[in-house]
Amino acid sequence: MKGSTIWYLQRSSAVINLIYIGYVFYFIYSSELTFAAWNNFFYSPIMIFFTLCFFGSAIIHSFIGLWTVGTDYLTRRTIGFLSYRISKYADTLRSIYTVVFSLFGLSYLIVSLTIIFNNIS
Amino acid sequence: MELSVSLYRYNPEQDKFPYMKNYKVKKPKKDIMVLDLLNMLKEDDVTISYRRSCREGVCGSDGMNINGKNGLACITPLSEVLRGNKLELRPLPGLPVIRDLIVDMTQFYEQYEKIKPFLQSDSKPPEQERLQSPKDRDKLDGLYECILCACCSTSCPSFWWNPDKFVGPAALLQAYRFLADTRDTKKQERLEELGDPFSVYRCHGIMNCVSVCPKGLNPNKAIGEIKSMLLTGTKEDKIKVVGLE
Repeated sequence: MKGSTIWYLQRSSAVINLIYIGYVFYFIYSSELTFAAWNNFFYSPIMIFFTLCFFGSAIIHSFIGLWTVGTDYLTRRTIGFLSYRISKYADTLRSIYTVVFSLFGLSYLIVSLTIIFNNIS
Repeated sequence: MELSVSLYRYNPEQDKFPYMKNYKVKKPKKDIMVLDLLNMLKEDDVTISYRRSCREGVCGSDGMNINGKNGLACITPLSEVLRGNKLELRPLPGLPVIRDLIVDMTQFYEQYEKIKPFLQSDSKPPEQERLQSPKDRDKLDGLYECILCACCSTSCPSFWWNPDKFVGPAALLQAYRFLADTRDTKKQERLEELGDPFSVYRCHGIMNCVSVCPKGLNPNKAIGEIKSMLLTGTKEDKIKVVGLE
């Protein structure tokens, strides 16, 4: 993937997340918060669409961020500053790290989709 | 009054590990440069090794880490860097040490080579030289002055972590020097070379490069301009003057 594509994905996902969180907080603080009000708000078709966008953006944003951290700090060279012996396993460590945060992302996606679609009446 | 100088020492033929050696020097009456102090130390201990040449901030060969900050020893006055009469001198961080304060600059030069630091033009070479207007020439101010001392790249954490993939501030400043040159016709090719996720985009805007540049240049701004060109295209009217800090 091109650097510019990653750059755009990281910034646009951040903007989507910020707008969504801002909108949710606006709803919470601008009206009397009851279960019925929250249910109506959260499960309205437009809000389901925005929530899906938010979850998608959050996954993209965190994946790029964590990949950047991994390729900065979990490399043979960077770990070599701490221990030459461990640095030999840097590629393996980074692969494990990538699998772990990818599994977290996948479980996060499953849970979020379950919350949205299991409760639509 | 005495100065306490702690010097990074490493001779691979004798030492298993590098170590810091302490020297006591009588504090000079007038303000001298760090390089002058090193020369004084070398008079007593001829084994101390460091690079130096022009001794006036032009050749860029005596870049080193002076009390935690990269700089050129020849133009750094002692009065500016002393902390309680103590001075710590180390080689430029992140590069392999050959001996004492001398580092292997191969990685740095390889990145410089990558950006093709020479004018490329499709037009026929003129009889004498490729001319440009004073206005276009102004666009190169703050770019061409780099002396490749490596103070910026070796103070950049992104370059420490990925010196093989991230081009580094010094080479990127030079990359923009040719992208900003109206006589160069290979802008698109140059940008394509830099378009991967590491070469330019690994710059996180830490700005150590700006803080340490002994020539007062702003590689961070040049990197920002390259990113703009990568994101929005290479139109001539978009090229901005980076200038000096």
